[in-house]
Amino acid sequence: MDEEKRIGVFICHCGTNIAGVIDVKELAEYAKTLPNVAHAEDYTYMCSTPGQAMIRDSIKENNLNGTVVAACSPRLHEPTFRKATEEGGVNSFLFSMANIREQDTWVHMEEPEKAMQKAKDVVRMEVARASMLEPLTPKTVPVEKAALVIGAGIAGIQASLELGDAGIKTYLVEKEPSIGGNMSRLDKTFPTLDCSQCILTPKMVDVERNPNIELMTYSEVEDVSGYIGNFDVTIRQKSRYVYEDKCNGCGKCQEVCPVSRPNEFELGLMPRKAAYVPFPQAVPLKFTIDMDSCIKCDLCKGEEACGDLEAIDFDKPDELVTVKVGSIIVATGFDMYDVERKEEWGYKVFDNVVTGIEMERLISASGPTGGNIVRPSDGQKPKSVGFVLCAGSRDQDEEDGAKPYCSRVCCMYSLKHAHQLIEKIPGCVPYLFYMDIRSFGKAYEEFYYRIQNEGGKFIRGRVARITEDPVTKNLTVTAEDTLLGTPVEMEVDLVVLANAVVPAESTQKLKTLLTLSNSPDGWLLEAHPKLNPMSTTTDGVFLAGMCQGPRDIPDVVAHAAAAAAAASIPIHRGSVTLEPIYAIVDQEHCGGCATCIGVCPYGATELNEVDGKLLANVNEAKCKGCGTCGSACPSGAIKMQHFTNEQIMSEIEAFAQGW
Amino acid sequence: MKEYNFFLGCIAPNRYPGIEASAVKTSRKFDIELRDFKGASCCPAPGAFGSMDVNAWLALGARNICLSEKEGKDIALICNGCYKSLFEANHRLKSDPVMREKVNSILANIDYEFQGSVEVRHLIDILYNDVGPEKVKESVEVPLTGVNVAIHYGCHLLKPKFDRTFGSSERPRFFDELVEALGATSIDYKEKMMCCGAGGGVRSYKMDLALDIANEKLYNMTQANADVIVDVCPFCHLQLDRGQVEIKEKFGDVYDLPVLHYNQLLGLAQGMNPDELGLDAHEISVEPLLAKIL
Amino acid sequence: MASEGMRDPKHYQLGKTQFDPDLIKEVIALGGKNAQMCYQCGTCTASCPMGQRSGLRVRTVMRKANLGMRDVLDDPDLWLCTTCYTCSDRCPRRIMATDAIIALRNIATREKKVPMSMIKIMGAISKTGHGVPNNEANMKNRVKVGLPENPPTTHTYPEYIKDINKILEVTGLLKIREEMEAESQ
Repeated sequence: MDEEKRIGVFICHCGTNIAGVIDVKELAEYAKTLPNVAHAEDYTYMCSTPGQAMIRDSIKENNLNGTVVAACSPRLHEPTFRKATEEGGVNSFLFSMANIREQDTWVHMEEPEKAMQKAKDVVRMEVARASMLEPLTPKTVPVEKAALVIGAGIAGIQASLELGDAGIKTYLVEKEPSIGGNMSRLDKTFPTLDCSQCILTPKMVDVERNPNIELMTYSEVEDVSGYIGNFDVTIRQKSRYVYEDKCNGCGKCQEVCPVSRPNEFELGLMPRKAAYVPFPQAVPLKFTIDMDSCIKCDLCKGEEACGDLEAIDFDKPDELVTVKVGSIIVATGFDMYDVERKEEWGYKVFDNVVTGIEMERLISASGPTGGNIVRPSDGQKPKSVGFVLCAGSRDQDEEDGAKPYCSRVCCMYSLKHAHQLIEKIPGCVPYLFYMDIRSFGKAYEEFYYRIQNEGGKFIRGRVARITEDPVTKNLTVTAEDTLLGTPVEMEVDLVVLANAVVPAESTQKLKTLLTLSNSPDGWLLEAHPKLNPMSTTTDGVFLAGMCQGPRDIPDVVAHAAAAAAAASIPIHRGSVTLEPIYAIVDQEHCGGCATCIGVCPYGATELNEVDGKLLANVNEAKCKGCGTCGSACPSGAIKMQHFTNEQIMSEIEAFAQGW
Repeated sequence: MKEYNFFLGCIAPNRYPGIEASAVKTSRKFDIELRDFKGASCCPAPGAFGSMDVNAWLALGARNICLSEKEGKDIALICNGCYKSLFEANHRLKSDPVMREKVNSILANIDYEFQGSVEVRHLIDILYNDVGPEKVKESVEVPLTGVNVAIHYGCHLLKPKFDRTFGSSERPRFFDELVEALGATSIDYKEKMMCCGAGGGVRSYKMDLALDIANEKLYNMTQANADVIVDVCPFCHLQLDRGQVEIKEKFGDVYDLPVLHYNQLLGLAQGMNPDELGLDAHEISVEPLLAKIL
Repeated sequence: MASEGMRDPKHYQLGKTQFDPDLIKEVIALGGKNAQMCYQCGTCTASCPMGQRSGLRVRTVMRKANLGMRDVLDDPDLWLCTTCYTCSDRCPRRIMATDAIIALRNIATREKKVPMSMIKIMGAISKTGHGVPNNEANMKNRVKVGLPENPPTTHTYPEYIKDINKILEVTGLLKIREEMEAESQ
C-alpha cells in the first residue's frame, strides 16, 4: 500500500481485569516502539462513551489510518470499536482487536510476567495485521417478509401469534398431528390453578384463525439453506393418509377402526385407534392414520364411516414444501428424563410408581381415568402419596443420564399435585421428599405456604430407594429426614417421581441444519446468557422456550415474545447488512477444477461458464468466510477477505519477531 | 485351555476348602485351569485393612498382582473382598500414574514393580462373560429343578459401580441367569441387594450389629421360601452360614437355611459328590437341600 | 439445675468448635473422591444398612468432614460402615462417601484411634500372611476334599512374609501396631 501506515493503539484497563494483572502503561509504551504505530495510549474502559470518543478524536488529531484496541474478546466489543473507528473517518475494517483479557490476563493471572509478555506479543501481532488490512464495504441484501417457527407448543404458538399479529407471514411447523405441545397434557397450572387447556386452547384456535399464520402440522423441517433474510426451508409434510381439506373431523373413521395401540399423548395410559386425533381439542381437528399400525381393513373408508367424503387415501404420499423466510424461531421444547434408569426408584417395575406428567393425565378430566386419581395397580384412590423431587435433576450421575441442573418446574408442579390430591381425595396426605423447595416465581412462595397450610407434609431428604410390597402393591419410600437426622421408611399408596426435563431428541437434527450449538447441559446455546437469551450465534435464528433451558410457562411465554420481537427486527427493517468477510475467486487463476465446490460446507461455491470456460464463483451471501475453499484451491486463486494470506503471515512473522 | 493363577484369599482355603475345591473342579468342565498361585497372601481385606491405610492396602494388593505378573498369568478369584482389593488395585494403578508411582515407591523396598500386564477376574465374571450361561447349562447333569435359590450378590462384586464393569448395582441379572442355567429358580426377596453385614471390619468390631444385618437378610430370604442361599464370596458365606449359629445363640432366631458358594451349587448340578464339594464342613446342614435335589 | 442455661458451654458448643479446613483436603487426598461436593441430601444415610440400626449417619460424617470438625475421628460409629458402597452408588453428586469414611479411618489410625480388632487383623497378616489363618480342623477338611493341608500361599511358602512386613514397616503401620499393642497391655 502506498499510503504511509499510521496506526493508533488503545490499551484498555477493563477496570482491574487487565490492569490488575499487567502494567498497561508499560504496554502502551511498548506499543509506541512498534513499526507503523503513530500513537498509543491507555484508558480505564475503552468501551465506555469517553473511551470510544478517545479513539474517534485520536484518529483525527494524529491523522491515523488504522486502529488496534487491546481489550477483551472481539465477540464482545468488536462492533463497538469498529463503529468508533468509522466515526473517526477510517474504514471500520482497518481496525483490529487484540484480546488481552479472556486469552491473557484472565487465564494467566497467577503469572503476571508471562501475561505481560503475551500481551506484548498479541499487540505486536495485531499492529502488524492492522498494517496489512484493506478497507471493505459491507453488503446489504433485502429480507424476505416471512418467518418460520419450528415447534408448536406454547412457545411456538406464542411466537407465531406475536409475529402474525405484527403482520408477518409465519409458517408454524409441528411434527405431531396437533399443536399444543406438552402444555396441552397439563391439567392445571401453578400457582394460579388455571386450567391448562382453558388458557391454551383459545391460543390454539387463534393460531388456526390468524390469516398470517400458515399451520403445517405432522410436518418436519428437512433442510435449511441460505442466511439471515433469505432462508430457503424445505418442509416434509408427512402423509396423514387423510386429505385435510376433505376431512371434517367427524371421527367416524376412528369409531370403526379395529386397531388399538397406546396413545402417545396419554403416555400410553390409554389406547387409541390407528385412525385418530391425539386429543379431543386437537388443532387442526383433522384425523391421521398411523400407517405403522393400520391393518388396511378399509373399514374407515366404508359407507358407515368416511364414505362419500373420500378424505382417506392410503396411497397419499409425503409432500415436500419449500418456503422462503427472513428469520427462524426454534421452539422445540423438551422431553422428560427417562427415570426408569434410576433403578432404585422402580419406575416401570412397580405399578404404583408414576411420573409427574403421568400424574397430570391421571388428574385431567380428559385423561384416562376421567380425572379420578387412582392407583394403576387396583384403581383405588390413594390415601398417601410420596413425591420424589429432583428425580434426575441436580444429579451428576451421567451413566444414568441424570442432569446436573435444576429443572425449575418440578417443585412447583409437585406442590400443585399435592394441592389437587388434598382437594380431590378427602383425607389424602401428600408427602413431599425434597432437598430445597425452589419457589422463586411470582406468587410461588405464597403457593408453598398455601400447600403447607392445606396439610402437605415436607420431608427434607432425597429418596434413596423405593420398595414394593408384592401383595398390597404399596410402596415403601426410604429417605433420611435430614432435619431430624433420622432415616425414615414410609409406606405410601402411590409415588410420583418429579422427573427432570431434558433437551428434546427432535432438536438434535435441527442443530445441524441451523448450525446451532448447545451448552454443556445439552440445551441450545443462546448468543448471550443474560443479555441475549433469545438469539443464537447464527444470524436470523432465534430461540423460544424450553429448547434453550428449563423454564416455566410464564417464562416460556415471555421468552417466546422476546424471540418474536427479535425475529421481526430484520423483517421490519427490510434489509440486512452482511459482513464482507467472504471468499473471492481470482478468475484469472482459476482452473475450473471444482475442488472448492466439494469442500464448501455451505454450498456457497459454484461453477459458471464464462467465455466458454468453467470458472468458480462464490455466492457472497451464502459464504460464511470459513476459508476451507481457499486452503483447498490448488492454484491459490481464492482469497479470503479480511483474512488474506498476507495478513495472516504478517501476524505470524510479528509473533516470531518476539522470540 | 485357559490358565489362571488362582488367588485363594483367606476364608475359602482356611475355613471353607470346599469352595476352593469346587472352583477348581467345576472350572475344568469348561477348559479353565485354576493353577496354584505360589506365595500369594491375604488380598488384604479391603474394609479392614484399607481402613487403616489405603496406600498400604494397595501396595499389599499390588504385591500379589506382581507375583502373577512375573509368571505372566491373569488372576482368577472367587471372593468379592479379594476382588475389591485386587481388581481395584490393578485398575487404579493401571489408570492413575500418580497412584502407580506412589505404590511403586513402596514396592521398591521389596524390589517389586507393578507393570500392569495382567487382568484380575472374578470367576463369576469368567463364567458369565467368557463361558456363558448356555455352556454352563450344557454342563448340567443333575438339573436343580424346583430349588428356590436366594441369591446374594455381595457388595464388592458390583460396587462402587464406577469402578466395575457390571453396570447398575440395583437390579443386576447375570448371577440369576447363571443360577437359572442350572435349572433352579432364583427367587426375588426383599432387600435382595443388601449387604451381609460382615464387611468393613464390622464383624470383628461390633458383631451384634453385623449379625443384625444378616438376620434381616435371612428373615427376608425365609419369607420368600428360599431353599438355599447362594453367594460368590466366602466372607459373605461365612457371615450367612456361621452367622446363623451366632444369631441363634445371641438372638434366638433359627433359620437352618443352607448356604452354598455358586461353585458348590454348580458342582452339585454337574453331578459331583457333596463330600468332594466340602458341603459337610458347613455349619448349617445342607442335607435338606440335597434331599430335594437327589 | 442452676448451672444450666445460656452460660452452659454445651449451648454454644458450635461456636467453640475449631474448624479445620484441611481435614476435607486430607480426606480427598486419601481417596474420598468429590467429598467436598456434598449437598446434604441424605441419600447416603437412607441407603445405609447400618444407619437403620445404629448411630452411623453418613450424611453427618460428610458434614463434619466438610466443616473440618475433627471430633468425627473420635466417633466410634465411624467404624460401623460395612463398606457396602450403596451410598456411593446412589449419591447424586458422585461422592465416594464410603471412600471418604475409609479416608477418615486412615486419619484416625494415624492418630491411634483405630479399634484393636483392626490391629489384630493386621497382626495376623504380619505373622502368617493371612488375615484369617488356617487351623487344624480346617486342615482335615482340606484333605477330605483332596487338597493339601495348607494352601500354596504364604502358609506353604512363609519366605514371602518378610516382604509383607517390609510394606507394613515402610507405611508406618507396624509402628502404630506396636505402640497400640504396648499401650493396651
